[in-house]
Amino acid sequence: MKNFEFLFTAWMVVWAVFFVYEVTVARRITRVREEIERLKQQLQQR
Amino acid sequence: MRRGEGRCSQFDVRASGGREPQDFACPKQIIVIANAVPRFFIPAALRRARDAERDLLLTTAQAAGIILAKELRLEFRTRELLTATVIFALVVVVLFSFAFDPTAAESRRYGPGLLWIAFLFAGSLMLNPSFAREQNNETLDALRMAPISSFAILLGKILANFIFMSLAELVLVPVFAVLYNLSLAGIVWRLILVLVLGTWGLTVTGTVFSAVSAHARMRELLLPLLLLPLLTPLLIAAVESTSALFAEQPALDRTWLAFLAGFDIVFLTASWLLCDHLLAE
Amino acid sequence: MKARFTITALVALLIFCAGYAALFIAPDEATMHAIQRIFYFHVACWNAMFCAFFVAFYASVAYLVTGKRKWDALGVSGVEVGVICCTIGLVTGPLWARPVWGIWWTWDAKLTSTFILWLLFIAYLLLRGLIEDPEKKASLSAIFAIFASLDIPLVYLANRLWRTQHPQPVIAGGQGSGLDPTMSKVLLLCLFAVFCVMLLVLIDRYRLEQLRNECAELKFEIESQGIDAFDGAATPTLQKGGQ
Repeated sequence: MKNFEFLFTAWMVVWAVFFVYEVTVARRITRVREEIERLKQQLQQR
Repeated sequence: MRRGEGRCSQFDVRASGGREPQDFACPKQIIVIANAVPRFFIPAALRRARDAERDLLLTTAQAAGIILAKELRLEFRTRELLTATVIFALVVVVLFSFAFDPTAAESRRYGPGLLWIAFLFAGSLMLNPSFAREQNNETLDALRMAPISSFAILLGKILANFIFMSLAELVLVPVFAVLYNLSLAGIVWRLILVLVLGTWGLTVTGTVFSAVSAHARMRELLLPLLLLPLLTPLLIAAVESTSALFAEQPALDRTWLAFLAGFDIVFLTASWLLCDHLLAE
Repeated sequence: MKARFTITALVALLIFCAGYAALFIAPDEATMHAIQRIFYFHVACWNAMFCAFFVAFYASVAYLVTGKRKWDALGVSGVEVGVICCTIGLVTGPLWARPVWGIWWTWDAKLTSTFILWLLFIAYLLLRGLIEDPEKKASLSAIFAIFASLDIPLVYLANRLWRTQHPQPVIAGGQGSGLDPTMSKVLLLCLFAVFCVMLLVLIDRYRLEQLRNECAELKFEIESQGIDAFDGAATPTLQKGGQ
């Protein structure tokens, strides 16, 4: 296939950007959820 | 059926129990639009709000005039902002002349572009204090408490900034023409038209974003960051119109001029619709 | 949790089918041959971007009218996802342009207005970072989002209004436009697939923003009740050891 490198790079960009973004959002969600649990426990303790 | 008589009048706020405009979750702009539309299209609640709205102390024009006078008085006491703007724009223009050799042909090609870039940079610096000044002694709260519409405050400041920017341009354009050997003969009025339309767009957007960035950190950096991308269509249209005037056969480029006018109208309307939220507590 | 897993699996399957279709089912284009296949994902990304920015615009207006925090959360999610899609589009575009036109970039109307749109919404994200008070942050960024959205019609219409380097529209673009039927089916599939991915990411980001708001509210409640926010996290074991 002619110009295959460009086609492949474009594909990888589309996948990679969406995937990396989704992973960062998921990780931030877990961290915030843990923080919320900790704060809820603190409130209950008091 | 006369007001207040017979069945409960929908048009007399006091007769119907005194519902104030703020009882309705309805922006004032909608009420103003409601003033222009025939009665039977508007529900009763809006009509009540409209009639209570008319109890403002001053019209928008009067209030804007007072704010404009205040801004002008404030600035002409020290004239520091105006001088700083003019000198900064001059420095930019001179710096550009070191970047390329301004022969006649090149001046015609690049001149209008760098003239407008100088105005944009100078404008971004000059428009910052517009609302930043009001933060110091919380004078914006005092303005907001006055019985005037928020659009009056915004319009007064826009007009003041427009006058300052125009004064700066009045000094800069002849200097620029001299430094770059461009002739202003025969195009003065058309050039003034282009400058007025471009400067109006710049000041409307700049004043609005000055209000936005006044609440943020790093506001001197934030204002150009917000303003310059948004003004790119204005920059392109203004540069194209000015280039057409500085060409071998000077002509007024109507399409770009219409684009400029459209830009001004759209952004002024957007500012009018959003001014309440812009100046809110 | 299970619903989430099934939806993600479905979207992944959809993307796989779309990718397969774009690479193998779509017919070979006459002049550009293989590289033209970027078109399916390039256009799909722009479509997703317009949808995301429209959601952001709608949410900004809704926030200004109602004042509810959830609209602010939706607004920032829409803008972030839109910026992501815009970045993908701005990267795949030059990757297509280089073999076909011989240049990476040109300053024609379409590319310029799209680049400006990207800069504007990045400025939005910066603005949010620089304002501390949450209510001011929400209302001022909503106002800026509305102004920035005024550039969107310009981007969409740029290659219809002006003669540009960028290809003329192939859908409803006037005479000479139109797609081969198989190509339009593959395009629709890809549009739908990328739109679903965008929607998934948007919902996740919205959930993150809402969780953050919840977290901030809890912190505020704790502080207003006078408890030290760092109490209880690391000290219990130490206290036990000390006794």
